[in-house]
Amino acid sequence: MEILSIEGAAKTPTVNLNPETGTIEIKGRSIPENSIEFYKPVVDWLEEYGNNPKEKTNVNIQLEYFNTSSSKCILDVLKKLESIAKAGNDMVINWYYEEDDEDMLEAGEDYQSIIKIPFKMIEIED
Amino acid sequence: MDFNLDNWIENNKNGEVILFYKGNLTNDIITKLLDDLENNFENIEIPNKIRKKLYNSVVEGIQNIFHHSLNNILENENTNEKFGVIIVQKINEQFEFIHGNFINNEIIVKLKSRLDQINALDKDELKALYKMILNNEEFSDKGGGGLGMIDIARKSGSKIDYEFINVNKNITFYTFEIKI
Repeated sequence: MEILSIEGAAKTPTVNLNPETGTIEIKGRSIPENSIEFYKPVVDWLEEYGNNPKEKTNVNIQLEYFNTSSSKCILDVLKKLESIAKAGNDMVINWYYEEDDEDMLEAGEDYQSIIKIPFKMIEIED
Repeated sequence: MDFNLDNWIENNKNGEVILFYKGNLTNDIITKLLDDLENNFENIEIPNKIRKKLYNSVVEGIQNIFHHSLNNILENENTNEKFGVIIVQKINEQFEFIHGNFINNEIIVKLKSRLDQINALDKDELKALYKMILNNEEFSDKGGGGLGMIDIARKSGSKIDYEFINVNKNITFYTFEIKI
């Protein structure tokens, strides 16, 4: 399986998915008009990774902004991770938010309550 | 009286303007507008927290227009363009985000009922509705179930001030306003 690496742009995040280290990273802004197209390769990659995951998967989600068009796609990503965890694999989900950004913290809490895997909420200080 | 767009703009653009746009929206224009908005934030005093809430609301509002608006029917009847008016301004220490666009009259009933539903809910109820739609409804690239409006209401903590201004028997100018 290959590394999936997408460079961030004005409206889309940096994505790094590494099957060797079991590291999943999504960072930056996710505010495209058409999110489904952007997230399809990510969801497909996770589908394949789920067939033979690392013993432990580390997930880092560090978003500055995301729009509601992305919110469903992010949930799809998290649901793929949930099913990998449910199959008995170790999974750590780190949800980063900037200092004072209560909305981003709350967004993480919303996702956590839907997918039922505990998130580690990490505040980034300025 | 006939609807006059320039008069509407003049009546509503009455603060310290941070972003104004009247025209068609494309992916590239949206990128440019959001970039302008961020640059303009540098020139005003705005707390970080408010800046994020406002930016988020403008993203959702502009993308709502992009996905759902008609063209500027006052000037040109047969295009697939997405026309909208966007005003972000500061008035009396509050920030206002107003957008307006043309819609078909047939969607007014559904849109109004969704807006009234959102305005009737408190913070926790909005959170529950957001999560319910996020987890249960089918989405297209146009979004789903008014999630954008719910998100704006949640983040702004403000009631949505809306208006449907009749243009003709088929078309209405729909305006949406929140304060942060």
